[in-house]
Amino acid sequence: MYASQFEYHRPTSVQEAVALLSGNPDAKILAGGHSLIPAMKLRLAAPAAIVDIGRIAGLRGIAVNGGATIGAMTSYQDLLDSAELTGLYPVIHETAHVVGDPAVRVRGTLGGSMAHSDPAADFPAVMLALNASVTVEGPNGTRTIAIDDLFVDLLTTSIDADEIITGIVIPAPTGAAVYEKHRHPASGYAVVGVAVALGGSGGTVRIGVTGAGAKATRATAAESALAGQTLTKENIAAASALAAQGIDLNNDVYASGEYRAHLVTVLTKRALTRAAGL
Amino acid sequence: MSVAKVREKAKKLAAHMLEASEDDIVYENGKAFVRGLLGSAKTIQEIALAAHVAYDLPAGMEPFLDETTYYDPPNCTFPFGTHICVVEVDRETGEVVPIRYVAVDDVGNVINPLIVDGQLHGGIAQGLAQALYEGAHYDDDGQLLTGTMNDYAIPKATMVPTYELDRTVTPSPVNPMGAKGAGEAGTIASTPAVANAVIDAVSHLGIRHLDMPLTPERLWRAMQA
Repeated sequence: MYASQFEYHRPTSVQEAVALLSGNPDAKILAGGHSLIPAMKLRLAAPAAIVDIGRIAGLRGIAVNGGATIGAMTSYQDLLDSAELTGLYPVIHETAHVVGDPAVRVRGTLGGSMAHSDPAADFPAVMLALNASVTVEGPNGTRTIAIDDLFVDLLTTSIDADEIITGIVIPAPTGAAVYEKHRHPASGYAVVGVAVALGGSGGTVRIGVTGAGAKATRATAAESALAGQTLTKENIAAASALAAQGIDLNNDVYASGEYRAHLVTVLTKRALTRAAGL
Repeated sequence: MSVAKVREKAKKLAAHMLEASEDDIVYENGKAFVRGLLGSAKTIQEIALAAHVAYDLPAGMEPFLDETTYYDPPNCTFPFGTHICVVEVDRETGEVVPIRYVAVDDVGNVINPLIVDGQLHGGIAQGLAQALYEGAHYDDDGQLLTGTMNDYAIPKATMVPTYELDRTVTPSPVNPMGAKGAGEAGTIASTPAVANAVIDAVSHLGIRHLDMPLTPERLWRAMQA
């Protein structure tokens, strides 16, 4: 189908974009477009106005300094192309490589993935594991949202309608991090995806799960079971069995809730095993 | 047979163009010439042009080198072959990965090997898709749930192995070219080759049959039982 009628705006600054959003509650931001435009063509989304932020200077780029600051409009391909970022966080390279397909990776943005909170997107799980945070700018200025507070529900974040993400900040790595994904054979989305980041000596592991429920979440029961311990095959198996706890499981023609819970356990186990080098 | 008719007409017209008797005309490698006098040759292009402009044709000859022939073969052709697929089944997730595919087919005389291989490539992918990926699902109200390419899975190039193809050639006796059909050679063998490989992989668990598509969940449930 064709999308329904909309006004098109292309601001040249973040302030202008914010003003457009404030002035039009029915406006949507256009970043890479690979979630918004298909939704509009299916008429699942029908915003009255599109605010194309693609020409705003300074929103795209990767700065590495112990940790990393990634501009919201940085594409998955940009992530793949950054040797510096890959050296610091191989998990980002590994994940960007399995998002969608090359066409999606050239256009899709990290900020877009964070803002959209698709239940089957890959990077929300990874950012949860890496304990990232997101900087947003709105009419009242800038603020930082911790990743644990970002994903609220299906396609819903704690970002206000008149705020835009400007960057994603990732702290210095604490240990090995990996991402395991069971890829849907048609859509390429994560049926289940599990990201794991080890906490360094004595530190807690962080486990991000996507695809299984309405939003990406941390597998807190599994994390607690491993608190303060060195990973072994035994404690990994025991913790992985708890990884799906608390998730209201998705269920569709391709994968039932029961199978998804099983995949969460298997992928958590594989991710922990690989991260621990066992 | 149309080609034979065209050749005969071309020879007749060449004879007329070369002012020779038709019996003295030889047609070889796209040229018609008086036997022994290669230098006199008219190319098929020149003959076709002469037939097309029709300024000077032998009495009773219609313009154009254009023939249609209808042929009723005495029997169907019977292409045959053997396909073998090697798969790996993930014990924990039930995911099936086809890692090798070998196909030896006999489609009689092959006129264009590129096209025949292409038919096999596409057909094998389709049959493999039927075994592992494709499934149209409806809800209780008859609504198609797998209504877009986002839900209905067909394999991408990264999801199929590089095929190893070979041929035997047993010409068909029922047509002058000795050719057999090649359009279904890929599809018919591949679905059972893939499905049988998967069942073979899990047969030690007592599994004898599974409905297609052999999705990971279906395999997982069967392996649990």
